[in-house]
Amino acid sequence: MRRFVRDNGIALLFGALFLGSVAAQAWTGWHVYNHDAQAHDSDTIGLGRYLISSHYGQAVLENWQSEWLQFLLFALATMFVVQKGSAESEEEARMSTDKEERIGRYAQSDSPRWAKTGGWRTSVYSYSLLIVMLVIFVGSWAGQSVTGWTQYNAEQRDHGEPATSWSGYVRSAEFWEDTVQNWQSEFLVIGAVAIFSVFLRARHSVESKRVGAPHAETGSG
Amino acid sequence: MRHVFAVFLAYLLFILAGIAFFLVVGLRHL
Repeated sequence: MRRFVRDNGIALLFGALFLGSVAAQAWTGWHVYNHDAQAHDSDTIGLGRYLISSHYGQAVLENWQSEWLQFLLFALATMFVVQKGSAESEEEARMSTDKEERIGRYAQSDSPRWAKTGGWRTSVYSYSLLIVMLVIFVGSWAGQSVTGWTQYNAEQRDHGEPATSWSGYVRSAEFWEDTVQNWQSEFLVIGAVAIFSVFLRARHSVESKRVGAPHAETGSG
Repeated sequence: MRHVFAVFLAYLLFILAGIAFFLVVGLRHL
């Protein structure tokens, strides 16, 4: 048990922070929902019903999709572009060799099985993190679109206005405002972290270069 | 590594289940 906790420190810490935050979001979102309902002379709902509402789903997923997009794009971008002096960058943008990646005939005895086999399995496994992030990004963005659509139509109904189709909703300013308001903050942070880590340090952290590393030194070392 | 893989699987399944859950919520107009 002690080893389980020690070995999974990051996942358990952030898992706990996530659960606390998503529970707080449910509690506060439920109050917001009922406040709006009272203002519109509509029925209020219980917390259990709120947890399976599009109001909650939309609020959760619009933030999820942007995080996955951020990590996906960052992982992709660092293959092709560099940031001189950054802890988050390679020295030069070039495709790594099979030897460097320890795949196929360069694999070790304890390398992952799909890294050893070669062929399509090794190709898929070589990009498995990107594939999974892409699936989660597309899934959560799709989830944002349908929960946002349902919620949008509920509001239209409250105001005595006609419902819209899903395809109409995903072309609406409402959907894109919810989407890009999350994207903008992610992209700003990515760019800032990449450039800040050239000149600023976080001693003891993997996100930083060593404190005494020259500004011109690229990569976390 | 089995105890680390268990956490990996828990994260992955939780995320996929969360997305599937809210896709159903949205499509059923809840």
